[in-house]
Amino acid sequence: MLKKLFVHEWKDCWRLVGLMNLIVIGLTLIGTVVMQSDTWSFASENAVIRLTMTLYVMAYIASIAALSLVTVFFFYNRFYKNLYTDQGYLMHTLPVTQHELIWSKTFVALIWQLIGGLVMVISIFSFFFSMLDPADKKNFWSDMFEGLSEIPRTPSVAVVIILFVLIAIVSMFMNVFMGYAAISIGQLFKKQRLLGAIGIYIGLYMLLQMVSSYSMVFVNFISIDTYSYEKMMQTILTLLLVVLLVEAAATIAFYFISAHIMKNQLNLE
Amino acid sequence: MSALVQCMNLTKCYVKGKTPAVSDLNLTIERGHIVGLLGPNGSGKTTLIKMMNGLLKPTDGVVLIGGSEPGVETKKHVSYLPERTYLEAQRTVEDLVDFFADFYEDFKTDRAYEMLQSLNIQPGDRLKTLSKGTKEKIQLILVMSRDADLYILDEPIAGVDPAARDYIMKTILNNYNPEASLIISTHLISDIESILDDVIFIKNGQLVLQASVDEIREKQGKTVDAYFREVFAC
Repeated sequence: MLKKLFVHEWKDCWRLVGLMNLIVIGLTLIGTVVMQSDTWSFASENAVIRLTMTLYVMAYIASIAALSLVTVFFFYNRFYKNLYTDQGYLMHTLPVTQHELIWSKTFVALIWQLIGGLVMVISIFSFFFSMLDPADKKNFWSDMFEGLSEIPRTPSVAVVIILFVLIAIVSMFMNVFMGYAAISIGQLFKKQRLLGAIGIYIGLYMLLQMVSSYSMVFVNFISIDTYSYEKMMQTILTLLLVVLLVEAAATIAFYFISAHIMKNQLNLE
Repeated sequence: MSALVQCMNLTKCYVKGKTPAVSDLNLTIERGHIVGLLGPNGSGKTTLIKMMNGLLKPTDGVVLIGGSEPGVETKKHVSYLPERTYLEAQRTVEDLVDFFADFYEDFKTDRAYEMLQSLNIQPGDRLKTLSKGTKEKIQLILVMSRDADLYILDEPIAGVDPAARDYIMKTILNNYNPEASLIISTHLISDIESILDDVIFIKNGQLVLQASVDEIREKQGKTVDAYFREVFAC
């Protein structure tokens, strides 16, 4: 049933988020081509060209901002509408578990967040790359690999990289589940459920920030000894480990809050 | 015959310490019956139906569908029509038929398309482009295209014109599996009285009466509608 839920969820979501990604890709292609041309420049004497360039940059920034917002809030809204408004009467009477409902939505949201993230990174990189001088472009990749090769190949650096990757993965899940948990808790309110969910989301976000700040104090990160490489690496490792554990605990808690509310305290309007 | 629905001391209290929406309700519904769940507004009909469908957890007591508490297994056998439009407006009629066929093994696609065709509803039509009445008919067609053991229809004829009511009643009767039971919640009793076998009257979340339509007519010498007005007179 999870596969079926996933397929239908994908069908319902791909149009808007797919379109947002296509707009960014399209504007990036136009921009990188235009950047190569001498005619289209902010320094041009032609006022129409300068105005078009300004409008283009505004549209590009807006499309990037919209994509980053849509990939997060579209899926929160989808979760809310599909499970806690009238559509919930259909979704919660399907022969599926609450876990299948949550995971189908999570997988679709995460895939689109990954796609959106990749599109944004490649887009911004393409812009910077297209603005480089021809000589810098030529040496760009060799310089980059040279820089990467200078990173010390010690076990602690490898662990740091692994921890960063793990934190990035857990963070993606945590952000999705935090929104779901806030929306689910908001459903317990008698009135103004959506407003309640937004308030809970802000509260959970602040709580996480507070825990992160305390973690830094806990591992003495603020007074880190940058003169001793070993001590510095040890502190960084401890900090990353604490962050990973805190985020993993929060992710699990947020997930089970949503699942529990759906199973035991569902109260559709 | 075995009981299809059993409510034992069923209670639902939305706010602790306040009057419960359903209070200590005991009732049994057998297979093969069309049952009218009747009561004035706010009597607890929808709360009871939500508990049968697993949309609400009882505060106390238990509701059993085919011997099991509402869950994944019972949802395979219960076809539920809520009192509101619950289908996504962006979807086409064809998408919705596919959706139901995917999740319910007992869904009869041919039956659904046959009924849609009889109403001139095109499979490619998007729900958002259709009128409220047509949306309600599509919902009913989807629900009645299942070979379920229990059909629960919450206010299926409220808010539609008399012609649509006739269509809805015809659809229900033509597609209802005689082995199954059908619970229809409404306060428009005269429109459905002719198809009912039994009635359940509830008031303030409590069972007032559970009897067959024939019994009411014989003992009270009145139609169900007239008796309802007498019992629930303000």
